Amino acid sequence: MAILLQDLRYALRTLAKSPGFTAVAIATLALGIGANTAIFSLVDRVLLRPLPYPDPEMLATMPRNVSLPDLLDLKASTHAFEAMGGIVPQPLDLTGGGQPLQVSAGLVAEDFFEALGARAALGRPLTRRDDQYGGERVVAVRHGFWVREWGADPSLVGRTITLGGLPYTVVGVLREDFATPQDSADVFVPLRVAYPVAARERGVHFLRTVFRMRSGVTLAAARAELDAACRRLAALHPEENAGTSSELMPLLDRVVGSSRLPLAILSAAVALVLLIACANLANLLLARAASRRGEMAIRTALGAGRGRLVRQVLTESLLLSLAGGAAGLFLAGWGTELMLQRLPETLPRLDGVGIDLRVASFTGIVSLATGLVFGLLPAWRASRTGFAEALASSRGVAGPEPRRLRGMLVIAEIALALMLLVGAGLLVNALWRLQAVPPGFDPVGVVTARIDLPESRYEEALAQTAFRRQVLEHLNSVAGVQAAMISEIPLGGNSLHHNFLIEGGVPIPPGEEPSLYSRSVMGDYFRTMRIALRAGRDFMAQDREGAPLVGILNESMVREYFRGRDPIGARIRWAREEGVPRWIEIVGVAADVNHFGLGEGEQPAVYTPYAQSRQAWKRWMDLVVRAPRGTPGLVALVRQKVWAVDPLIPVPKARSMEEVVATSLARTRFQARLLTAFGAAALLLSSIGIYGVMAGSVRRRTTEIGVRMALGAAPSRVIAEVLSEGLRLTAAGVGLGLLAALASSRALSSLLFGVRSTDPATYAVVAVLLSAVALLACYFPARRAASVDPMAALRME
Amino acid sequence: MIELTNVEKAFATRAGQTFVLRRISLKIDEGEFVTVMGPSGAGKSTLLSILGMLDHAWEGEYRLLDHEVHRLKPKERIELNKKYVGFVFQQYHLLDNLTVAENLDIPLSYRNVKGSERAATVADTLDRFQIVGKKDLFPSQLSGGQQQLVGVARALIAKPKLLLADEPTGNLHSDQGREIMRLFKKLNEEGTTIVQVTHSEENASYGNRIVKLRDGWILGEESLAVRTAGPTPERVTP
Repeated sequence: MAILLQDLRYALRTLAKSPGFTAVAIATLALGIGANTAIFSLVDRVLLRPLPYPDPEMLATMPRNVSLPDLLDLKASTHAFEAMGGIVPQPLDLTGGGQPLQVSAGLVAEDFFEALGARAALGRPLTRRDDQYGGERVVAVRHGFWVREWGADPSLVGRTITLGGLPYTVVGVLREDFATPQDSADVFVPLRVAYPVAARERGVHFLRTVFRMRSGVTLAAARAELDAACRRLAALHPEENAGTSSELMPLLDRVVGSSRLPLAILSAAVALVLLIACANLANLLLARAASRRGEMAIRTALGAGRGRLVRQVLTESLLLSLAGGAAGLFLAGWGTELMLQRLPETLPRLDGVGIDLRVASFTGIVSLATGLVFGLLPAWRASRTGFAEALASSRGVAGPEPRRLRGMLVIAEIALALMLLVGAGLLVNALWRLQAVPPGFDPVGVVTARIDLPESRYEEALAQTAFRRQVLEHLNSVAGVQAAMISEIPLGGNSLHHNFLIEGGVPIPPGEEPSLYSRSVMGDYFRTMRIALRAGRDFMAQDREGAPLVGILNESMVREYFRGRDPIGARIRWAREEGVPRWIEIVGVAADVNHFGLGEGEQPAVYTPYAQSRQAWKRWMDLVVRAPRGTPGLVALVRQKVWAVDPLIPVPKARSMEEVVATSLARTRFQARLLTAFGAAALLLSSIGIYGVMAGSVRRRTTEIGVRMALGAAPSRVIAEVLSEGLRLTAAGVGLGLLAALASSRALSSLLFGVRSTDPATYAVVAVLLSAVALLACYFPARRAASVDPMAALRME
Repeated sequence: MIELTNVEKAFATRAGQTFVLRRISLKIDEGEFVTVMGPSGAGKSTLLSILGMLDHAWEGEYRLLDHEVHRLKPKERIELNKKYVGFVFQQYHLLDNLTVAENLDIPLSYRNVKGSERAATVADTLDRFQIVGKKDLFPSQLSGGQQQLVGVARALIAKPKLLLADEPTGNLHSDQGREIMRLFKKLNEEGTTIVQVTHSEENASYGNRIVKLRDGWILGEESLAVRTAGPTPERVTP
């Protein structure tokens, strides 16, 4: 122990004596380890941590949503599960306090809380007994929401709050650590009490399921049983369930599913940065080992065994890596903050992302491993010093540097940096192309706000239509303002589809009808959004309740279902509608918009007037309000006009359509930015690497350069020689990197748009950029070589 | 004490083998003070590192006391080195980052001597070489002579039977050089066997035998009359 402390003391002193080397090594490692720590904090929280419920491995779900009748049938016909429940996320208005507030509600069915093992901090959670048609209106509140809205007042339990215009009795506050698996909710109400109409419908597949498997039941066994039950269900109810799959999956997989690939790519990218940093560290240590050959020879002469020498040098590299880790942890704290501000909202489980003990332990392990693995080779080389040779070196002749090894490390660094830069380049390229995609509407100057009408006061379609009409009238009466509404704005992340039939088409069995997306509009929607009309006419004032039903198709619908035929005048209707068929006459064709995402194209869709809708459950709408740029207080104006019609309707934060477009690109932008940052770090590190090797080479060749200059070599020739040595290393690294990038960039394919993973232009630009930076890094040692004073250089010898 | 028989060392080069030492046969008795002389490239330092068991790539036979060094593995040779050998260098080769006391402590720590024992030995040695006042100074704060004094103290701290010195006064002012040589003489009289490499006839005169090397061969030996001190030796041709 005393000897270890002695090694530590000497190592500290040795490092303190070379502040330049120490600072560069620590900064290099801090960059590599810090970036890894920041990404690990994200990956750990999102992917690695188990779900925050008891026995989370027993929780499963289905990849698709189901209806409540289906859930009940599945429950009755399976035995693998001890609890089965579901949740529907839906906004609800909370009124009775100050301003009306829109809150995220979870409409929970059956044993939702029991399956998750949720407990209450106060009162109780909801149970199956609460979820009954005509049951008592009860609500459980999320802990954070209780603290925020009611200042953690324990007397809330037992009191009545108004949700959706109806009184609900608070029966409990959930524990602080409870969170829903997806889509956080502030309040929970029983589905059959809050939304009985939809709960009864077998065709309304809106429940996100949560199943808890019985102890001892495997996922495979539960899956087999559920599969059989689903097949029976499809046979019994083909109209609602034909062609639906029923794969059972771990709940965690559904929660994090789509985040795996992007996070895996980011983890790989950041690991490359660390590898480059480690190669740099190894390079620095090798150079240092070469300069310490004399010291090692003396230690050997004084009786140090090889193990002792290795330990001494390793102690230094470990100290460096731990200091780098500590600095990296600090950098990661800052980087994580920065990252959190830019994370796309679509990434799940972001609560609590940050530096904690687990993340710090990860940093510690990575630091130790880095110091050990990459310090070992230099330590071993340092300990291998030949005595006589080292004595010669101590007489002033520099010990030979391991040129080949250092060259190989630099080649590897350049290759890794190129791989990363190609990845970043491809994503940036894809982002540019996505940003250049015309969305199909003009988002500039448009503000949008989502409004949900409470069922209690707007149960009937007529009341809803009256509200909508009044709001639009109020808004359109303001000079310069154009207002309209649609049930789901483009790029807003929402959509609703229906099965349909075309008049005169071939008969189609129930359950196999084609589907299209249905969007309800009111007001001058297409003009407000500047969506071009390709044929026919726009909706008019007379297309209202009681008038013949009309619809406007989008171009995708016409392409897919009216090939070569004029759709104007054709009629479609919803499949399996009860009663007399209600035919919708097509009066126009609107241009496609990118509804689901820029670059994702459009799906067949129909626009119909809100006023002609009998879908009274569709109580939501997105207001779109266009005003000349710079119109002050547009958001306040929207709120004021809505409240002029109904002061109890919450108007949550309005967003500009440009913001909506930007948000739809958030994930790609985030990935591109992060990969670019890592690419820049890789570029910086590899240029430091090549600079170090070239500087070492020039130092080693000072005498030779002196002789050459004494023999008449011009400085330009010396510069050219040094640059050509650097160029050889760079070319080898770039060549290797191009091959590696070609092989690895395929993993990015699914994240790209409009650019192939083998895009030659991206590869060429990255190769040129990297070569230019590498040559610049070589230029400084080359200039130093050219300024060697031949006489001084020869005197050194 | 030391017996070398047909020791050879060579490097493989493109042109074939290049010999550094050729058929070296040499006996050194316990208590001798032997000087190895010869021009640059003669193989003097190589011979010294073979004697010190820091060079393992040679052929021939080497006996040290009752150990057959040529039969030992490198690790065992290092152990012998630790047990019997101390080194003094021309460039002093004190470790720059360590204080005088720490430089003295290092050979003991490499021999796994217990902490308390090491501290006592270091204190004794500082006292013996009269450098107690300098124990916390770093090598760069000492004069050349003082550094070499520490170098000698460090070489002797583990009580070696054999002291190997490579140009020990090469970097010293002549007065300082003489002091170091007188110290060597005294140590030799106290029983330490010394082998030194030097170009200096004066330094050689402190010893009792000179071995002359050239191009890796032993050219011959000279015995010197035993003297207690003085720069002009009386040569006796064997």
